[in-house]
Amino acid sequence: MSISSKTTDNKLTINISGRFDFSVHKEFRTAVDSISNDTKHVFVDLRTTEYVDSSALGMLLMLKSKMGDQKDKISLINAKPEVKKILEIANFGQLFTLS
Amino acid sequence: MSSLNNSVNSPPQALIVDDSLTQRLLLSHMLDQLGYEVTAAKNGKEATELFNPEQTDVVFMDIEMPIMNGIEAAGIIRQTLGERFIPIIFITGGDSDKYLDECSEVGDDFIKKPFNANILSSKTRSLLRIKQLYNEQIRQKKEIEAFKALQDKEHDTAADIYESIVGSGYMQSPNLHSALSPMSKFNGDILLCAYTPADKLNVLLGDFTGHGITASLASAPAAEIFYGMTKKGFGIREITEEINFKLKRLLPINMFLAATLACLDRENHNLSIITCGLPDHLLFCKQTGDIQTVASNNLPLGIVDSPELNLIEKHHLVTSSHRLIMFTDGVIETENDEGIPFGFDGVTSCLKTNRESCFNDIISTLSTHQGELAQQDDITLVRLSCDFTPEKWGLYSSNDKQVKIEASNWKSSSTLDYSTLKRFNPVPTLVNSLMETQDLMPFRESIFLVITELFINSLDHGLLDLDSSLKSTPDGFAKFFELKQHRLEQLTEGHIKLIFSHTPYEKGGKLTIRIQDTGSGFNEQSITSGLADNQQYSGRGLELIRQICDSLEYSNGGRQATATFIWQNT
Repeated sequence: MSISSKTTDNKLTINISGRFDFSVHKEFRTAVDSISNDTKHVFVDLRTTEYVDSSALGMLLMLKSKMGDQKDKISLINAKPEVKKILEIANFGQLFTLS
Repeated sequence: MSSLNNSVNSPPQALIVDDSLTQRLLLSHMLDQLGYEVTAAKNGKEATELFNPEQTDVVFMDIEMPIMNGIEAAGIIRQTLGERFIPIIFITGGDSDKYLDECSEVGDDFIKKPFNANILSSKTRSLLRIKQLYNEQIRQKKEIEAFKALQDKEHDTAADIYESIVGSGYMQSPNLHSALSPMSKFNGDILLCAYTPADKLNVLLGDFTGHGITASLASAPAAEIFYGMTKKGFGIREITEEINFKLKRLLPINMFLAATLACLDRENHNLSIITCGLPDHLLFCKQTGDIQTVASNNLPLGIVDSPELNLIEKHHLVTSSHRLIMFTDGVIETENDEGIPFGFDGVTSCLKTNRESCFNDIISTLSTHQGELAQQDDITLVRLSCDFTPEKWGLYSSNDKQVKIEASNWKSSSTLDYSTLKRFNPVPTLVNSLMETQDLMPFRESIFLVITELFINSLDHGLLDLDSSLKSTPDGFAKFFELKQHRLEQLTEGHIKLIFSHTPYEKGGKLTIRIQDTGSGFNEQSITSGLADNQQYSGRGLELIRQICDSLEYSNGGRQATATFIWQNT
C-alpha cells in the first residue's frame, strides 16, 4: 500500500510512498473520501514521495475542493527538494501551505 | 439450465451416432430420462447430414461404423463449427481403446459401454457448462471486436477534428521551430502560434494534465480563444485570462493546463512571457552564449477564477540572436535505461556545446539518451527565434488583393477614462467597430498598427508620463514595464479620446484618426528614432506610423496627434 492515512484529533494525515502519480489515484481517492465534516485539517506527508506528476497535482486539487477550497486547511509537508521543485513550478504555494 | 442453442425453454438436443440399434435405443432412453431431445444416426455419414450447429447441443459418437467411421465424421462436424463449440463425446468399448489418440484430436470426452446413468449425467452436464462458457466468451470477443472497430473509427474522426481545430495556422511562423512526439494520436501538449494585426507573434505552449483523448479535449476551446483573440489583436494577458476563465468552467477539478504564452514584438524588441506551471524555460543568446532561466511564476490555467490569477507578465529585451527554448516536462523527465532523467542539465549542456544548431542538438541528444526505451510522456520542445530580419516578418509584403470598397462619410469618437484604461486594452474593440462602420478589412492590419502606436504613445508618454529613454538598457527596459503597470494602477484621473472620421477621397477614401489625452504633453522628438537604427530599443512607433500613413502631426504640446490614412480602390 503506497498510500496510508489516519485521523487523530480531527486532523487527517495522508502518507504517500514512492511515485505519486495516476497509479495511486484510487487509493488517494479513498483517503480523500474519509474526510468528514469534522475534519479540521489535512496534512499530506511527502516524506517518502519520490516523484510527483501532473495527475498528482490534480489529485491535490481534488483534495482542496473537498476541504472547501481553503488554503490554510491543507499542508503539504516534508517534501524532498525534487518534489518541492515540481510543486513550485506549478506555483502550488498559492493554493496550499507548503512546509 | 441456459446451456441451449435456442431459447431457455426448449430441452437440450443430443445427436446419437451408432450402427447398433440396441445401443441407440439404450442411450436414447437414458438421455430422454435426463431431459434431452434425441436425434439418432446410423453411421458417420448420416450424422454429418443430420448435424445442425444451430440446434445440436451435444454429440455422442460411436467409433467403428460402416460407410463413415466416427473419427472422420467428428472431423467433418468440427470443421463446420468454426469458432463455435459443441462437445463431441466418443462412445468406447471392446477394443476401441486403440483409437484413443485419434479420438482426442477431434473429440472432447469418452464414455464407456455399458453406460452408467450417473456418469452420463455428470459428463453431459459439465460439457454443456463448458460449451456455455465457451460460447459466451466467443460472443464477448465479437462484441469487443465490434466495439473496438467502432471506437477506432470514432477515434480517427475525432483526431481529424482535433487536428483541424488545433492545427489551423500551426507552424506558420518561420520564427518557431518545434519537435513534438505525442504518445498517441491525441496529444496532451499543444503548440499554437499566430500573428496579431500589429505584427506581433503570439505563441502558446501548453501541457494538459494526463495524456490522450481526455487531455486533448480541452485543447479545442483553448485554441479557439487563442486564435480568435490574437486575430483581433488582444495581448497575451487578456488571452491567458480568457483561456483560464473558460477552462475553469470546463475542466473537472483535477485537470488543468500548464502553459506559457509568449508575445514577440519586433518593433520594441520585446519578448513578453506569461509562465503558468511549465518547467523553466531558457532564454539563450547564441552570440554571447548567455543563458537566462525563465521560471514559472503563475498558477496553471483552469484552477482558480481569473480575478484571483493575478498574472505576472515578464518582459525581456531581446536581440535577433536570442532564442527562447521551451519544453514540457516530458523532455526533462525522459529517463535513460539506468533511470536517470535528461534534466535541465541535459538541455543546458547542449546549448553550451553547440550554440548554432542547439535545437537539433537537443533533439538528437535526447533521442540518444532515451535509447531503446519506450516514450514515457508527451514530449514537446520549442524554439522561438527572436530573429527580426525583415524578410522573416510578413506585414509589409505588398497586398495584391483587389479592393472594391464603397467609401462613406462618417465620424465617431470614443472617450476612455482612466478606469477603463486600467481594465483593458481598448484597441481591438475600437478597430473592430471601425471595420463594421467602414469595411476596410484589406487595410485592417495597417490601421490596427497605427491606432495601437498612437494609443500607446498617448498612454505611456501622455497620461502615464513615462520616459522612453528608460528603455535604452536591458534593466531599464524591464523597469519601464514595471513602472507602467504601477502608474496605471495608481491612475485616478484623466482620459484618452479617439476621434475617427472618414470621407470619400479620389478613387477611395480618407480615414483621419485623432487622439487626445489629458496628460502633461511630450516632445515627439524625444520618442522618435529612425527605423534603420536597430540598436535603439524603442522609438520606432512614430516612424512606423509615418511609413503607413499619409500624414502625422502632433499638436497641443504633444497632447493631440492626427494621422490620415488614404486608401484607393484597385
